[in-house]
Amino acid sequence: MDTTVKNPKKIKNSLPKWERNNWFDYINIILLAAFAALILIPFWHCIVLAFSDGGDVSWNGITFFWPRIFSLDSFKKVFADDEFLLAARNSVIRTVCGCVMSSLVTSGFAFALSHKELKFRKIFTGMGLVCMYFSGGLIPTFLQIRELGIYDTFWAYLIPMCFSMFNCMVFLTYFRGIPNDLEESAVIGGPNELIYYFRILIPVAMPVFACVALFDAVSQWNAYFDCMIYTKNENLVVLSYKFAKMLLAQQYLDTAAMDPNMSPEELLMARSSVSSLTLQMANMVVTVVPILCVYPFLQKYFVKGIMVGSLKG
Amino acid sequence: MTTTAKVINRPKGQRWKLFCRQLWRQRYLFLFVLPAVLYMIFIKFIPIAGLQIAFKEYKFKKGVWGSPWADPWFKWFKQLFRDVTLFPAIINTVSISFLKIIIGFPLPIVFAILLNEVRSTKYKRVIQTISYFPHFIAYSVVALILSNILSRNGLVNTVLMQLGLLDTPYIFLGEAKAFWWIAVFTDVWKATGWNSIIYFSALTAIPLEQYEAATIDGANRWQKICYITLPCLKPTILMLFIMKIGSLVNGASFDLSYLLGNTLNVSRSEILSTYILDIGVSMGRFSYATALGLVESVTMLLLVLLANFIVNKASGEGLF
Repeated sequence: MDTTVKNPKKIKNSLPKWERNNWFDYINIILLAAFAALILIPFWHCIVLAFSDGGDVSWNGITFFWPRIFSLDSFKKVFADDEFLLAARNSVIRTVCGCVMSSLVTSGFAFALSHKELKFRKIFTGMGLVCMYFSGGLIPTFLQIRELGIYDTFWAYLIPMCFSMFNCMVFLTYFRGIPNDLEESAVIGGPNELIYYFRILIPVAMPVFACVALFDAVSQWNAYFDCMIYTKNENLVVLSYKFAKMLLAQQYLDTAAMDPNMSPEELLMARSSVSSLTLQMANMVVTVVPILCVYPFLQKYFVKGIMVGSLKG
Repeated sequence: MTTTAKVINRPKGQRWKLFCRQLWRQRYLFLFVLPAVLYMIFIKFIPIAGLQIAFKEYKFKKGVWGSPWADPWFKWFKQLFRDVTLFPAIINTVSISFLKIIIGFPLPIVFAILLNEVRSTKYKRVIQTISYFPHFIAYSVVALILSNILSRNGLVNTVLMQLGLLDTPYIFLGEAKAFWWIAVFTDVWKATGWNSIIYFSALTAIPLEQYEAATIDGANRWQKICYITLPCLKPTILMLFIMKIGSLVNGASFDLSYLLGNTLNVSRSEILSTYILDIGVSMGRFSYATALGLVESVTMLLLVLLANFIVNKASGEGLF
């Protein structure tokens, strides 16, 4: 008895053979750690650059894992930049509004479909499935957006993304799992479906709302394509499109620098539209951090959501 | 049963009245259906009907419905086959998509199985959480990071030069032949963790008794993976594989090609979707771009049906 307590090695050996770590486990752990490192290192590197002194980086080269000269200048510049603040405001507004709109429209449709007695239910389901598998493609959709008059307005961000059949399936599966008695008793007690939906269903189905809202929020926050082709007003720019522009300017400069036909004036022009490396990275860190803070806490929900969606789809 | 019989036996007027009453009773439900149906009609169905401009001479002033039909109706499709600049775009799209399936399809399975073998739940959770992270990052941000890491004096070049593997910096984004691999690995990097979620859920569904029984019979880890885990994952793998096959024609990521493509690597970075954007929105050849998009989606549909047919024949476990 005494010896086993004093000697932890012995406890380990007293485990049955298949419970002990062997070489397979160690290699496995190392492999997975390498995979995680492959994901984290680029981000860490960028965060380090964002906190570095801009002049130092451009003269002495990059640092790998720790800033050589620590500086918050880039962040100060980012928050003093009106264009950044405007883009951030637009991104936040579209994320919040888009999230709410799309959760309501999608869950409402799923709520109606979850009633077996709904008239034309099969037709509605069929329409949804057609939407899921077919699309008009880029050009017809673009023309329709112009036709609807939402081209170059804020609605161009919200309306095209306000319904998703995949999310509808996620809702539907969840709603089917709620006992029918809940609604029957509620509806008999006086309120109609509208009140039931807002007062009872939303609180009861909070996990699935959280999951779908996260999907929507991420796709809204990250969307830049709609900003690029559906809008041209400078006041409607969003954060992720700002990055796309930054990158395209950088690319242009890089290729221009290798082109012998470029005149020095043109090169100077191209260079002036490119922000410094540290500034770009500071922009990036500010954009990515909100997502980084939110998603680990919602992990439980989105894993469930994906499972439900995949089983049905 | 009895109610339907009653309905049928009633005279026509009464049946209509009953129908209307039922509709009225469901008025709130229809209120919930309405926004989604409006969305589907205006954002989805009208553009699908708008595909007709692939067979028309689209005129901006006359709109989709008013434009005259092309003469002959397959005019644009005929042009597709004669388009010399289209050919490299097709090659690039199919190659990138193919490489992505070859490399990117097995990795989530391997990742899920390996992670499932880890005993420490804490370690498992941490790795899992990290693996989802790239999925939440916008493509524009990923591309920005990538262009900085791969730049002349970026992370990759500096490390390779310090290790002595390179003498002069390699301009990754300026070399056409490197582009396919950059696109493929970035997409794989971004999606592996996320795509493994489905396999995780399939893995948790495998009853533990099977593993216990195998352990008692003296099976080792490798044998358990081969004879229990993989067969249990087979339906999920097949289902996802069928769906993946369709992506042979559109699996190449638009975002990477568009954001990382430049004049130096355009011969390898131009894919169908960037080409469509280019000729459609930038050059205004709407009909031609739509025709190209239509051919792309029809090919995709045919590929999915073909893959499904083959899987059905081979194992009877097709999707539909």
